[in-house]
Amino acid sequence: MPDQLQAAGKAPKRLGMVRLVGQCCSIGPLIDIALFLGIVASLAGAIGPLAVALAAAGMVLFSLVVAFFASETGEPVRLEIISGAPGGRRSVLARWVFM
Amino acid sequence: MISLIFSGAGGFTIAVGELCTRFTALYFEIDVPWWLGAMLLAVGAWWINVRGTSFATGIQFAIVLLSVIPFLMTAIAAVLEAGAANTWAVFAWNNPHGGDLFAALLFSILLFGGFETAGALAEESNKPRRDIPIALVVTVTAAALLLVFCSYAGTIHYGQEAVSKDWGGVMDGYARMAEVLIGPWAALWIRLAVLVDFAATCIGFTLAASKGIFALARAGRLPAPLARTNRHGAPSMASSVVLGCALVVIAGGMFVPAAARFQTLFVSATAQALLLVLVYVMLAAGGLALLLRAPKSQPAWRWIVFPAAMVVPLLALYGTLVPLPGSPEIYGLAAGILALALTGGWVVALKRRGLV
Repeated sequence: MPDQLQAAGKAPKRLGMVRLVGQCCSIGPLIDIALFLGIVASLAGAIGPLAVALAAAGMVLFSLVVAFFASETGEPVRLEIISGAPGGRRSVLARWVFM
Repeated sequence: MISLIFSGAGGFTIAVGELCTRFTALYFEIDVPWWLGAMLLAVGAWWINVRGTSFATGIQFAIVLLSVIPFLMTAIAAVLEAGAANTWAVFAWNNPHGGDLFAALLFSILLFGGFETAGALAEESNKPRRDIPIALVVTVTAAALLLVFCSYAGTIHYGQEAVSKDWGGVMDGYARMAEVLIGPWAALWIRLAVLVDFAATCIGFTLAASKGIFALARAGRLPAPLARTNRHGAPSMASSVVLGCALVVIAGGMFVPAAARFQTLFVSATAQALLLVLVYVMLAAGGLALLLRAPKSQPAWRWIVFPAAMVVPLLALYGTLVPLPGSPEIYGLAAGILALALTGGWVVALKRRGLV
């Protein structure tokens, strides 16, 4: 898309690190604190922090997986990884579900 | 993409409208209809996105920076106030006041959902191979520290015995904490921050969902008009489809009783979380499969990290299905399964046309 626009002389601004972090924060970490931590507390009770810490550890590991492929391909990350997953049908299914 | 539409790009709009109504009633004593706030937010998110990605992501970052301050202040105040009540027991598996850890894991993962949407911006970033990995890891690590600290502070403040009922039973638990620990102004800041952050979420999810629709249309897997862009380079047709989904959700909200309106958040969040966790499992499996293709050239840490990344999503999936959740989360589970069936049908249709 940007290439086509550049060719037409009307390219959008390129995105720097700050704006990428802005998109990473798109889920709204503050909504999470305000609303979803309450849901976690209602389910896990006193061990809510343990549930959040476990998820945090898992997601930091997961971010390394996604980051690895982003650094390898520089392409829309999920497509590349899922394309490498075994099973063509599953890969297309995953693209549609989340992309 | 459906997962994104289930959440910030559509599914959350009813709850946002309800929050607007409660906020204006509490602070201004004005009765604003819930649907008006929801529509303003959906249309606002659409407008910002059709102005271009750079504009949208810049606004998101500013909102997050401004909004995080009162939450951090409240969490620090709670820990200081607790004094001797601070304990590591809230991280102990065998805590007698603990609940269902695995069921809570699903929502705990949802706390982080969305970070990977930065990958959708690879085509428009300066140096995607360098910047996107750094942005991903830095953001997730910072969010992890913030969320664990805030969860700990809230649990300590409400008390281990009562936290499930007292924090879990209200929708503005952190604002109430701020009111007690710091003052009414901090509670106002938090309630305002939540509303504004909901706007940032809708912007981010609308952006990611519209990019997904655009990319599929460009690849010939959705109707070609959905790949149209405007003079800002934004996928305007795809953004309009996402706006249409949000408006349909708002119309559906008219049939939800007022008392149950906020419960729609649990339904949409469950559906989103189920799809999100499934995708995370598949992504990790895909990463592992790529490692197996060239095992000799991989550093040792990848053989540890990649399989380990699958564990938490799998546990969350287990916690979601065993035992089956009650109402209203069960409706979200059904919606998630329906979305998977819809996806399956779409894949079959593509296969028949030779596009897969």
